[in-house]
Amino acid sequence: MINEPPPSELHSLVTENLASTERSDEVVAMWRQRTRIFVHNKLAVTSVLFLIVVVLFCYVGPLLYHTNQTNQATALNVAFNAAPSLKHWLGTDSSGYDELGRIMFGGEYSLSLGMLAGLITIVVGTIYGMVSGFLGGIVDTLMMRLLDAFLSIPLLFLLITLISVFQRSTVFLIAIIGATGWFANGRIIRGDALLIKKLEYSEAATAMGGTKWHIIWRHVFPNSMSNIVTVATFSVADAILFLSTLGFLGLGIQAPQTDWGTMMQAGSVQQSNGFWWEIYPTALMFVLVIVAITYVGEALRDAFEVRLLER
Amino acid sequence: MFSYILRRLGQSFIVLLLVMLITFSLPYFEVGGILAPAYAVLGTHANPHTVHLWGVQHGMFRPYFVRFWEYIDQVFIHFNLGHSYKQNLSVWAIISIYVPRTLWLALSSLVLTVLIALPLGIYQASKRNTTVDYVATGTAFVLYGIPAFLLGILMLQFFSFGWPHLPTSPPNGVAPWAMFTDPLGFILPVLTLTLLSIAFLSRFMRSAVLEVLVQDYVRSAIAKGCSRPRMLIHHAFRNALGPIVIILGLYFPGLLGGAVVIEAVFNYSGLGVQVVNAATISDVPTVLGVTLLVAILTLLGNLMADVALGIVNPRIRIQGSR
Amino acid sequence: MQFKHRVRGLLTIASAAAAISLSLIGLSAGGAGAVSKPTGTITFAEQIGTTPTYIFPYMTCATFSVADIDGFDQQLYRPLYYFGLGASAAVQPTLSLAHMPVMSNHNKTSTINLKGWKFADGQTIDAESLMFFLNMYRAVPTDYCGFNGKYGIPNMVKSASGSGNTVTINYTTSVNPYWILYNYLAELTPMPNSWDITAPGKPSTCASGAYDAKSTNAACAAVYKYLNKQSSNTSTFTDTMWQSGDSGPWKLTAFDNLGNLTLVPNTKYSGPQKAQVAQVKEEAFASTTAEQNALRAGTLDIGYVDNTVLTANGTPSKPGANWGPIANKYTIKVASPWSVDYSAYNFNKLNPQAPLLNQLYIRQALQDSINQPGIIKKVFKGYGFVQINPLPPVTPASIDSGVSNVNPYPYNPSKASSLLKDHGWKMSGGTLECASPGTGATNCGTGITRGEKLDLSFLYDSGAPVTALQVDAEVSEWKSIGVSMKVSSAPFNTVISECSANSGKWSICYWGAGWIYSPEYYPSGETLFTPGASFNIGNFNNAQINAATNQTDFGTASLGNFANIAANVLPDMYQPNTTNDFVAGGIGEVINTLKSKIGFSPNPLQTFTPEYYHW
Repeated sequence: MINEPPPSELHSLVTENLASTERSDEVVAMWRQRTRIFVHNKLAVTSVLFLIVVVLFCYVGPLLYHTNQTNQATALNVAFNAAPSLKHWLGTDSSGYDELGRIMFGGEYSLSLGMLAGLITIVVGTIYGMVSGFLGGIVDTLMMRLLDAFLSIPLLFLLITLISVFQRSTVFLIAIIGATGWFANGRIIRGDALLIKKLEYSEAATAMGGTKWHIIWRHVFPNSMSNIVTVATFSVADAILFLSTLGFLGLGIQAPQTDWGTMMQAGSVQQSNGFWWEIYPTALMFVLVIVAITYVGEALRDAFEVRLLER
Repeated sequence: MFSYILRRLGQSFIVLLLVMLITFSLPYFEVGGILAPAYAVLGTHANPHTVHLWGVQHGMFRPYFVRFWEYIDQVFIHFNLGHSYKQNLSVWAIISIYVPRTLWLALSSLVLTVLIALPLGIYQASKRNTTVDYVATGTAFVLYGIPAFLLGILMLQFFSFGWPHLPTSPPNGVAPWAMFTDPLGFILPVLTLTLLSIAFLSRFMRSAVLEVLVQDYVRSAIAKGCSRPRMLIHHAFRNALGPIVIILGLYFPGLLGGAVVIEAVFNYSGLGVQVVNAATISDVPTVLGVTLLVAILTLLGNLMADVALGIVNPRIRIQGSR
Repeated sequence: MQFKHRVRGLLTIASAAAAISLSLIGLSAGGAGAVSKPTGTITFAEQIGTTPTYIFPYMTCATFSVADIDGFDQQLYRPLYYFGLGASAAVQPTLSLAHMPVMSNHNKTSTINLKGWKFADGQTIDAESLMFFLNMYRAVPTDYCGFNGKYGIPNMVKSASGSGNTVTINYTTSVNPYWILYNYLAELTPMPNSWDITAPGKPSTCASGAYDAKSTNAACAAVYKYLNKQSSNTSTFTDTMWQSGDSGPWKLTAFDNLGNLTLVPNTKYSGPQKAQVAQVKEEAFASTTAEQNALRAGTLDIGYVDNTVLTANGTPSKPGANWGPIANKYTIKVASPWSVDYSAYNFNKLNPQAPLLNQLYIRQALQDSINQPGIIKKVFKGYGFVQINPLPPVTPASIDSGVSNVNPYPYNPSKASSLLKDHGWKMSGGTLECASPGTGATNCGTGITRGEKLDLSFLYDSGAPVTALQVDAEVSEWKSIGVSMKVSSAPFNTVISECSANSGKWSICYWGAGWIYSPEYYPSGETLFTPGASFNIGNFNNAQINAATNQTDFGTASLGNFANIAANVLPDMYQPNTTNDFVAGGIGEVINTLKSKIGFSPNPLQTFTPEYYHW
């Protein structure tokens, strides 16, 4: 009744049914159409624009709005928890740092760490999935069972155990979030690899009137790419979220460096004193960024999801 | 079918051994090596003498393979998960105290989640691309973007320190049935967890129903003049239920560990907080024991999901990337 | 997790009783016996993350903690000499089970007269009860956390015997009366005969046997094994066996595995102050935030808040305005800690940076650049003390006569800068470089080569945000005078295991709390600064310190001389010392409606005496 152990499929994106929607357009046209779909999605475009603004705010902002964000000795002489003023547009935090500058400074870490960790998860996941899927046989079984093992250890436990084992640094945090975040991605990509492989040896492929590579190029690769791009987007959002959770648990970036999660944790402590500027601006920024990234991911998936559009 | 399950069980067992190998070996990479827990347990009472003594008492100086074999033997032959280094309790005792506590929290929020998210998902899917759909999807997105701790803090701020003054945390004490004797304290944590789960699951729900809606047989049902509500309930719902149940099965074991932030924010001593504390002080037996438990649950969940998948509808594949 | 350690007592010998303890004796004697029936409940927050786990007072270091001892065990089982009451860290003769020890035979003999109080089961607390503990200590010394190798009890005990209410202990050498009392007699807890068993209903001879006899040692080892096993099972904690030995004002009636417990008055308690409330509840909290929420909701009577939520400054003696949301219900209570706060230098030869640290002038320059007053003011909201020597900030005059309270290295970064320049260091690209190697007065010093950078590393505990703030402030100062500092942080146990391993992998190490003098309460340097000492993690070795320490342990010298030497030679980097509270976590808070005739100052030794509290 069941012939293929399907846990991989469970986690994978829906895969295209090749026979159902044969079209004669060129690949380029298909991509163009997808781009058009994405661009027509106003929310998605707004999200992308918003993300660009946020990146500019975090990385270019400090060049225009000069603040001390690293010298704690100097910060000791600044009033802690000061309310917003002309000197400090969003007040100061509980360590004497300018809050607006801190949001930019923390944003640099949240965004770049999230990006890098997300990239690691997708690169490692892709390689692992591809190797496993293409090699097949006993190697595939072994690699997948190892993945099962990793997946059945709760991620947060693994992360915290690893973090409490080593000294903390930015590189280490990227590595650790990257190293623990790729498992599900590996599964998804393996599914694609299996599909490609199946096609490669399938007589049906040639029977359908094209070379194997043509079919792979036209049907499988776009699908894999869509998976990889979509998954990468979500992975970045996940990595940023994970980093913030670590920050909340006190395991985030080492001071005087900071990230939005650590800032929200510190801000939440001051919330009781009514120092709204220490949490709400950061929280708003954070949530909007995650929502924007997630929305871009959804829009990408919609754009790639040809079948749903063809109803 | 039977032989398939048997084969999968065998594979799961191997996976379990791998999990044990991974978690058992991790502490060897710690800075203080295998004696690292001694420093955590002894604090500044730690000196070469007391640490050595602790190591001897806990049999730390025997070779790696001997220790691993003993651990396997202890777990599978004697069903003994060992004794916590820091707490004066066996790991079984820790599990039996904290699992029910977290279980009540997770279960009640799961029930609420299903009650809310399932109708919502169906409604959204049937009203695809209407205002209602956008609002619901948007809300789910925002909830998804809010980290658990932030949501918890906001809930406390508004509903506990603001109106209607709900208790900040569930009552203290071990009784796992405290939820029924003093339900007021559980409102905020359960609600927070539910909102988070809905944010996580509603997209699966929506797309699972959507998946079914575009199936050929549903389309032909509509073409044949089947009324929409009837079609939704008879075809879409029934067929979407399979994957949703499966997702819940896969999601649930994760909830056991994933409630850690909620537990921390609402001061509820549950499994998550226990393991995080244990992990930060290298209380290896506790981390090992609980990880093993969650791993077993996850593997069983996987297996049951796969079997159920085969029974419900071999054709259905589930959309969802995370 | 800010790591703190348990602290118990400070003591003064009867003849030398300081003014503080005299006044306290008056207080407790005068305040005895509220006759009315105990009413009401006091709810007390336990320290975050550490809950009681062990009931048997003979504890290994794994369970030897504030939670286990002060909040829990000492409520039930009183030690021979009880230290700390209210704001005082001194010995409390009225609360102790014995009269103050009498030293004789050139300080080679202690004679202890027990008062004849009763255990809960009616047995008199006499010589045999104390011998029970001493015999067990002789039989299985390493299972008690107070064991300190060749020092003190039991390894320096030549003989010990007891009869009636009197126990005599002879030592192999002369001992400083304060040292032996603070460090060793303070740790003894008389135990009842109902515990002298190897199984239910199977009595043994650990209490009655002769000291150090083979048969006694064997009996005691078996008894220890049984009691340890019983105490390893929390469900036994409310058994009659453990309750029969209650010698303190409280009796344990409920204990759950989360660490929540309930105490009710021990009606058989013989001491001067009987319990005045019907119940004391101790509650476990998962996080600081959770505890702060409980305070805001008003469900706690005694707890603490984090320094960081305070918006107004205060001083240890005069607290400032309280945290806004609870200011109308609670009052701030803080006290001085019984600890030295420092970070350790690694002088180990394996450390490539050791030649730099070996130079006193470099240590001076580092110390000169620490803005202790500034850090205390901003980071600790004023609730702290400038640390200048290894003694606790407030040490009784009886033991530290001659100590200088002048800081030899006050905050002065420009002095630090010129000190380095005077020794041949030149600024190059933001970091100092040795331009004048050699061993002369204006040279860099032994082992430092030309062109070597003043490059050090600093490892600290990542557990508490305030520690990060403190370290960052210091590192910024060092950077500004040209000392490059590679900073890394890790969880407490990683830091402590990295630093106490005898390796060259670290240079300066700060685990966030320094050293609390416990279980040896006497703040001498034998544990920290002498060669081969149990916690001399940086291999510090200085002849002056060694000689001074020896005098305070076995001679009759006060701690003043030792402290002054240690203030000048900098065996470690002194860090600002924060105040204590009830639970070692921040700023103590007491609900306004609670009353007490001894006040509510948290004890420097973190003892907790709820029998003095009432509504």
